[in-house]
Amino acid sequence: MNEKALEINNLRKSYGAIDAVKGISLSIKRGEFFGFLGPNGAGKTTTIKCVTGIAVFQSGTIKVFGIDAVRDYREARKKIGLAPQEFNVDIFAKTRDILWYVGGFYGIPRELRKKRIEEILDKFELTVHAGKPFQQLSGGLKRRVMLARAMIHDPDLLILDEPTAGVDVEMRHDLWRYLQEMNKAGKTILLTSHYLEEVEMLCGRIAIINHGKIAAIGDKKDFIEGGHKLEHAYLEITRGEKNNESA
Amino acid sequence: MKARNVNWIGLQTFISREVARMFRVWIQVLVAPWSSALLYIFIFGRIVGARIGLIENVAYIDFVLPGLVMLNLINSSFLHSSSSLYFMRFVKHIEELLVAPLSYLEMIVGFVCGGIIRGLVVGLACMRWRFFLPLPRLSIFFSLYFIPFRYP
Repeated sequence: MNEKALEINNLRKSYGAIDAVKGISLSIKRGEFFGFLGPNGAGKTTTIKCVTGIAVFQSGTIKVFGIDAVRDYREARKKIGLAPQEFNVDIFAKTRDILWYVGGFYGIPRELRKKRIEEILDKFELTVHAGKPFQQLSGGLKRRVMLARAMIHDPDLLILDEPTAGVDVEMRHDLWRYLQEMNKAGKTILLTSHYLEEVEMLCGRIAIINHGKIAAIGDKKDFIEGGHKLEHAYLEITRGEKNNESA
Repeated sequence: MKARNVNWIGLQTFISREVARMFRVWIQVLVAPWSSALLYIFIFGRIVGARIGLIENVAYIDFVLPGLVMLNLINSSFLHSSSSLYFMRFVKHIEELLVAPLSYLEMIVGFVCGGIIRGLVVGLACMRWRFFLPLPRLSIFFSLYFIPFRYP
């Protein structure tokens, strides 16, 4: 059994002349709750897009549970569930249909898919909303649908790109509870968020990316030692880099 | 690509989603080409055709009808694949496909199959005008031969 859920080595990705990711390397252990932080445009989402197959990267390697994400992309993608920052679904489709089609894309047979959809609708308290088109759902429900969609094929690695953005306090607490339950059930979670208190509460290890490079990586306790808040360490690292660049 | 390496369930699901999307906008899919075909039949077949008369014992409508059917069929088929891809890119739910264990070839086959199915539905719907209007009978077998083998 491979102990590394995700292994990124020297990943580079550019959009034309803009280098979005400049050779980052990091690894996430199986069962870890990993926080991936950084300012807007730092390269978090681009890294996630490279891992999941949405973006094609220029160089480097990505392994998901030891499986090469490019060469054995089918097997690698079966192990990943993605809840992206934006609602990238067919907004006219009904919740149940969204789950049905995505389950099919992952090759889940009909009968198993039916059972799995009912389970996941129940787990995310979406059963009463199953027949509603996505566009008619509230912001919080939409987020839950995104999580349900990411979980439909029971992936081992869950990648959550700002899952609580624009969600009210109550719903955010519910989402935290779901995530903690999933992590306890053995899922490896990679979380990006601008709410540092949630990263501080949920994650065991954290990486900070800035200008396409890993600026810091380590256990949560390394960032908050001396009674500091994570926000303090985060600002010190990102602002420190900014000052170094301007000097 | 070996048959056992194909994600058959994924491909079948993708095609069924394309068909479901097609029937979700059935007015655009069926009524628009159906009424435009009627307009063409009326203008070319009835008004222009009446002035032209018979050419070597063939009425103008007999000559022009298969073309009108194919015009709508080809238009609908291309429109389906392009609008589906464009819409998916626009609202970004193409990412649903990109993160799934589907190859690019399977995605293309899915789009093409969706286009072919819509083309056939529209083509057959346009041929149905024959039930309401005095139009020539088009051979369904001949049409089915021409649609997949001659039209690409």
